[in-house]
Order: sequence, then C-alpha cells, then structure tokens
Amino acid sequence: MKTELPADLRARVLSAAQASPAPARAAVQRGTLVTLLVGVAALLVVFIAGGADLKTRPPAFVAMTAGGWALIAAAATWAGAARGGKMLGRSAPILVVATLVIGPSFMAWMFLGTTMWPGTLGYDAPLRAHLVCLAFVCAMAIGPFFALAVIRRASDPVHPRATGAALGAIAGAWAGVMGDLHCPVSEAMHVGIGHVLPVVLFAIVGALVGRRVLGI
Amino acid sequence: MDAALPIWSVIGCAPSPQVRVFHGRSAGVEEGDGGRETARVDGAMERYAAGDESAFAELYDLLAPRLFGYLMRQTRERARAEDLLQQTLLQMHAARGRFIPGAQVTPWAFAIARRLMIDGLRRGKREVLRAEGEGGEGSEPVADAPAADDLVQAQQLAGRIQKELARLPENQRVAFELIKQEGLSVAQAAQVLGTTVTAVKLRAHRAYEALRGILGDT
Repeated sequence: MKTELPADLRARVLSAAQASPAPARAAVQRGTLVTLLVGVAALLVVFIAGGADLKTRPPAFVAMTAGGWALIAAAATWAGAARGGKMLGRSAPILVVATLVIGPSFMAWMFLGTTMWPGTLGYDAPLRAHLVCLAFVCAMAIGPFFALAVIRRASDPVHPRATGAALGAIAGAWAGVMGDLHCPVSEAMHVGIGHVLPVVLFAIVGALVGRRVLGI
Repeated sequence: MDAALPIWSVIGCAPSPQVRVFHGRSAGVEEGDGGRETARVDGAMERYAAGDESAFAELYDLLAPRLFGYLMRQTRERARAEDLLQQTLLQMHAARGRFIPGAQVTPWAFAIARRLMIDGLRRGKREVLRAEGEGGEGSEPVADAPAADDLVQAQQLAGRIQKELARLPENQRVAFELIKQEGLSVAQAAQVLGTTVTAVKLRAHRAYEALRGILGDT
C-alpha cells in the first residue's frame, strides 16, 4: 500500500488555511475572557433580580452551605471544564465523575449543615415554591452554560457528550450556589428539586447538545 | 513462527521508539528520535498558536506523513485519506488559538483524524471496507531482503493477522493499532481514545495476546 503524500496536497492545505484565517492565541484568549464575563454577568443579573436572602438564616449556616457548595462547584469546574494541559481534555471517566458527584455532594453538604443548625429546618415548602426555585436556578444557569459552550465549541473530537454533560453540570452547580444564597428554605425536598435538580437537567442538556456543539 | 518475534515486524509497520508497552518500559516515555520529533511538532504548533504563520507549513511537513499513513491504513482509499488529512489539518488550523501551551499535538491530531473518519463512515457518504483477503497489501517488505519463500510466508501471515485484527473488538483493535502501528505512546493513545492509560494498556494487551495466540498456532 503506497502511503506517499501527493505532491499537490501540501499546497492545497496551506492555501485553504490561508483562505480562512484563524485567530491566534492572544485574540482567542481575549474572546474567551469576554465570553466568560458575559456568562457570569448574565448569572448575576438574574440573581440580583431575584435578590439574596441572608437574614432569615444564621450567617454561619449560609457561609457554610454556600461556601461548601462553591468549593464543590470550583472543584468540578477544575475537573470538568479545565483541560488539564491536554488538547483533548480530561478522560471520559473523570468527566463523568465530575458530572455525577456534584448533586450528591450538594445534598450531603446541605444535610450536614442542617444537622449542625437544626433550626434552619421546619418550613415545609409547597410544590410551587420548589418549582419557582427550579425555574430561578435554571435561569441563572443559562448564561454560564452558553458561555462554556461557546468557549469550548467544536473542540472535542473524543468525548463531546461527556464534556457537554460536565459543562452543563458545572453551570447548574454555580447557579445552585447562587440559588442557595437566594433561597432560605433548607428542607431536603426543596433543595433537591429547586437547587440541585438544575445540575442534573443541565447535565442532560449538555450531553444532548454536546456532540453537535462541542464535537469536531 | 517464532512467537518471540514482535508482531509489528510481521504486519509490516515500523513502531517509533516509544512503542514498548509490553516490554518493560514505562507508558508514555518517549526517547530518541520519536521524542525529538514530538518536541518539534509541539514546538511548531506552539509557534503557530502564538501567531507565526509560517509554522503551519512546518507542522504539515512533520505531521502529514504520519497522519496520511494512518488514514490510508484505516480507509484504504487514497482520495478519502487525502480528504481526511486536509480536514484534520484545517481543524487544527482553525483551533490554533485554543492550543494549550505545552500540550501534545500528536494525540490531538490523531483524535481529530479518527473522529472525522468515524463521522464520515456514520454519514454513510462512503463505504470504507477493511481489506479482506488482501494479505500483502498492508505490509512493507521485511528487512534484510528475505528469501522469496520467507516473504510469501510473511505476507500470508500478515494477511492473517490483519484479518484477525479486524475480528477483534473495536476498542482492542484501535488501541493496538494506535500503539503498535501508529507509534503513539500508551498515554497518547489513551488521550486519543478519551480513556485511561490503564484501560488502553488492557485493551492493547488483550489484542496482543489474541494475536500472539494466532502466531503461536502458526
């Protein structure tokens, strides 16, 4: 089997590249920064519109739950969104773990918090309150999710669905952190549906659109 | 057939120096010419990402022969392989601004080529058939000008191995091919396949054992 390169292919490839210039790293980094800022701003706009509730709960409890969730979200962002110095990103098992671990970690951390501050429990929120929080947290997650998808678009030739799921879960996680600052209800059912379910929903959306948006 | 003979010498491919996973060397360690070439590829991509337009030609010169060989072995169709090579390099060109300083280029390039090839197959635009019964086509002449009988025997054996390779589960076959035929390290193959080093080692080892069993019977 002859595998010599055709003589004219080099010229064809180089001229095709010349015909469609691609931005170098500096320009891409500027674009990435702007996109990230837009995503974070979109989250903050929704959060400010909804308002924070920091007075009806002990400040230490709020600091513990929201702070803990922020650490979990940051760890997931490191594991799922950063590429670990490789163009192909982290392996699928790591992405899957980063995606799956957020929800249970959030619930466990909240359970720990409510165990330490039992007074934060007792308000049995109606279903409507669960759904309002669900919609609010989902609205906050949209901006970061779009930003992450734009930044990583057409970049994953190996496991775009897993990457998409991880990015979705990360966006949902940061929205969940802000949702915890917004909502004073700490009851497990409410936290599960209103604050943590968006992590799952956005992970599913990310997995569904991952191939088309993030794949090469 | 001497079972100790490396399989790649029979199937007619020349692995790079880092291909030593089953012979007591650590995974991902590159040395000698292979390591130097990898460094040159990475350096060219780094310069291209930083804005040096001329580095793309160098990148082509360093990567295209390997990628083309891989694509030819996979598709066995020259026009298709050329098309995929062009697409692969243009994808790398389009993504140059996102190249991470210090990242490895080779597994990235192979992963893009592989993805484009799989997508092409899935779209059904072209039927790519693995050669069956074309024993000698994938093999290069055995070193040291062997006798005609030996050559025929080696070609027959290579054909049989190719057939057996095609029969292996896809994940084992691909892992084996990336390491043994394309000369990627285990770590690089793991990146291309999006899995762990351990998983790739296991898959390639199983493929190797299956093929060794066949050689042992010969």
